[in-house]
Amino acid sequence: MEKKQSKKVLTWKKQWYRFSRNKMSVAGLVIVILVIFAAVFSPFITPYPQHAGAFTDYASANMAPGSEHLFGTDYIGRDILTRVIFAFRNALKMAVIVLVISVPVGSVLGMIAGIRQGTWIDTLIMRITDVFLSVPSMILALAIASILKPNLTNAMLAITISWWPWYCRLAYGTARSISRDNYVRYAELTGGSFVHIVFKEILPNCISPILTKMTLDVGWVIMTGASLSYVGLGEQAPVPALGNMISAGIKYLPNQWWNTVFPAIGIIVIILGFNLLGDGISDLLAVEED
Amino acid sequence: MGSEKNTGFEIKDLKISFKVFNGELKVIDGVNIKLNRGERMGLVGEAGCGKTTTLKSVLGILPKQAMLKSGQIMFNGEDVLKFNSAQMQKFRQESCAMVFQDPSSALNPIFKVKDLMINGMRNSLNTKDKSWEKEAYGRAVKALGEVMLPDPKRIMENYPFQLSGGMRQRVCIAMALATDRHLLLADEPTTSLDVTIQEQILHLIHKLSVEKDMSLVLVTHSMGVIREMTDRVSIMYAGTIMEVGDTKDVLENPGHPYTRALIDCIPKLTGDGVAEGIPGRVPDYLNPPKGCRYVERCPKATAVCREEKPQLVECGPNHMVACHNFGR
Amino acid sequence: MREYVKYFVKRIGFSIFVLIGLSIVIFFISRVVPGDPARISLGPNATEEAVQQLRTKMHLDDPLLLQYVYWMEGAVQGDFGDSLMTKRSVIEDVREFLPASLELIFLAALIHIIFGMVLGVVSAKYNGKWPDTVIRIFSYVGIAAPPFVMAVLFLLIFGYWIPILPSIGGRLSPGITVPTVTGFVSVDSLISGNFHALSDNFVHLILPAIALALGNMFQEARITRSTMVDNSGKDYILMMRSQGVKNGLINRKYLFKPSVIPTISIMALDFSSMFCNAFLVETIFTYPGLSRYAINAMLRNDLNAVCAVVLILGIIFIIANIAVDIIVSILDPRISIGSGGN
Repeated sequence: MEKKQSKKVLTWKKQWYRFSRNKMSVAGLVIVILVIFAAVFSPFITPYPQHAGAFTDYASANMAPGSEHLFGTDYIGRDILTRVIFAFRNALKMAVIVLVISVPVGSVLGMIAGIRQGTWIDTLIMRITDVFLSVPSMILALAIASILKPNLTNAMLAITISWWPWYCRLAYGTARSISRDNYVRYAELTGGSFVHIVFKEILPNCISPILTKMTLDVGWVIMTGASLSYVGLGEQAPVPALGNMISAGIKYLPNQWWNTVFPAIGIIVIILGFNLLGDGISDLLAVEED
Repeated sequence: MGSEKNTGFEIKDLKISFKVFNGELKVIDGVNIKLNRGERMGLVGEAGCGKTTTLKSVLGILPKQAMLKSGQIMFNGEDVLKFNSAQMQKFRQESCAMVFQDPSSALNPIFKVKDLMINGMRNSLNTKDKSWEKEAYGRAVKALGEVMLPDPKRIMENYPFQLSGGMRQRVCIAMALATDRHLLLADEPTTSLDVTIQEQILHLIHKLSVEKDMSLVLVTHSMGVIREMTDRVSIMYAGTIMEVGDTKDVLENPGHPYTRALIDCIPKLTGDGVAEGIPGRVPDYLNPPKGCRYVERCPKATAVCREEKPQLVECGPNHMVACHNFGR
Repeated sequence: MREYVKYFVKRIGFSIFVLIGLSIVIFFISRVVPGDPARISLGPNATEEAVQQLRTKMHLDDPLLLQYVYWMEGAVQGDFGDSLMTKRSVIEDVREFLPASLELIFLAALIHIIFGMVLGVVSAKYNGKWPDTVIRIFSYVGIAAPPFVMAVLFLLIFGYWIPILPSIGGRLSPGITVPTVTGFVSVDSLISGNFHALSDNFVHLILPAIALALGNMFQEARITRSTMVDNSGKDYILMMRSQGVKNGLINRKYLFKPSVIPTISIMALDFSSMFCNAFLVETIFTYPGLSRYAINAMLRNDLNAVCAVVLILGIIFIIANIAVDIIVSILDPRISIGSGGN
């Protein structure tokens, strides 16, 4: 028992060594922790939480970055720093919801198709997937979001609709290759139920590639969400989002550059953090090298 | 290098470690091999005991994490490990060649055999004028013929994936022997091949090494192959040479318990039952035993075996063994 | 070889099926949207008769399935109906705007392929040394920055702060014209021998093209680097090294060629991601391409245009995919000749 415990600790230590070997992964982890912290506690840590909404204070409009407003203020006097942090909150909310819906939906469909390969279920699911993958997810998301009413919920819906097929294809590939393996056959022959096979035999094998893709996808979902909101198809003003802040600020270039530059840096930082962390985690989940 | 013909090839006290996350893997810990010109030596041991690493260190193709701790590799009176890059290139081009374990990964998949063979000997040929390509082509065809491949000119036009495993290994051998070299390192050249092909490839290597008067280091798991093909044999365990001597002598009078265990693993025709294998496994290279590396599995292990590393000592004519128990 | 041709015939057949599927998806999504497409397209001030007339013309009173059949019938002939933005037929708009987008994307692709590969090779060559570190740090930031953010920053820096390049505007400066032959301004100016126009066009293209290319370029550099580093430890490279072949030749030929195949095989994906990103980049630089047209159509609920653009982009991506497959199969004999072991 004791030995087992120490072995587990060793595994964790080893994993941490492998992760921390790459300084960039650690940097990513730090960024992500800071961003999540800032997003969760944004009402408490931001200097002017009331500026996150429809607030106006013309007296302090268009102030350059300074000690009072670190990132300056926008054209109606709202603190940019506050709004960027609240925008992080939005971006994270969007990424989490999109992935929490699209990943299980996609993977379960993919696994079902993979197990029932060669049947009409396989054909139906995978052909639909192919259709959705024939145009890049961002174009599909833009098209769907534009047809629906422009707001955050619909933007998330649009991204989700264009996102699940990737997971479907990923899970399908893995499920297909292992459903031919003997231990799955054995489970089937001994009367294991379909649900049992999906969740007990197939899922554990698919989980690692799916998690890998997920960690790498957070940044992409945030990027797509920002693009949608930049165009005006996502979160609507006055609620701050990374995209709509940039598009609102672009009118005030070049004099009030802080309107665009700080949200732009914000996007880069948040995506950078998740990309670096995702790389680190996918290295860990990759097949042990030595 | 023509004048010092008789000097052979010798590895002295080679030690190599690999850097990993929680320390050093002390993989090679005292390899001593000596063979004279034209001799064929077998290198025997279990999987994972550093045979491939030893061979790769000779040609300087170890991965980056490998660290040379000590030792010398003498060839014709010079230390290969001290070569600068130009000397090393010359050594590779003119003196030594290696046949890899898996021919399908040793041949670049997207180039024709012709391309691989001709460019492989590009720098080894003495002809530096424009006719080198023609000469290289001629030599390549000749070498493919020597390794008993039918229709060499057609093979030259093929991609590696169009050939069978045995044919690929023949191509690799042909690449190693297309220009004259004095030393051939063969790293389990038949492990990845069909059983029916294995024999042919081994005989081919044997025959060519005799014909071309080359020294040969043949890594293998098989005692049968050793008996048939080699003059001398080194028994390697966990990065250490345990016993070395004339093949016949070692097989008949094994001095080391490990050698004995290996010999007992050979199924006998007398019908004494199935071979048992050696209980236990190769030690952890991270924290190897302080004394003899075989101590955990040795039936005769004593206190001194745990504390002190045994040195190779003479135990017969041309026969050395590294065991504290020898002679007791 | 015959297998190979068969494979491509099958691919094309399959693509047609996918396109039909895509058309169904996009058509039905556009029709289930609440509101009367005819009313939307004519605006609130149109008379009831005019709306009814359009409804009949668009077959809006027929069952949905029949509407789709009518729409598809038109689409196959290149008739996607009229755009409510431009009041012209959608296909005419596409003909005008698509070449501009393609021109931009081809330039971006060129930048991305060439520099991505160069950076990747340099990075692999100096694996672990300072050039590698510098390139890697730039890569992380370059990949993380969405192209539209890059575009905005470029606009600020090169449009306003250091105004050396035109940041706003069309494909050519006012006053410069070239006769339209192909629709590609660069090609047209070459045909008419107007090199002034060619360079002017290039100057207009370069900023948006770089903004589009950067992310993919760094991604490619990373992939090229990691495959080269991985492959450099493979037996086939060690084999060449053990033969005493010069390092230069090994790296240039036996390491480089197998290592770029994975990079090239994701080029179709890169191409489509550039098209996506062009949606915003063209808007920021007010570049008159198809992507900006599509964004405007989306924002104004111009359903005919949206459906047409999505379908046309689908066709373009399928062509790109097949083209990349052909290129890869030329580079990799295992595919074109038919593999034995793989």
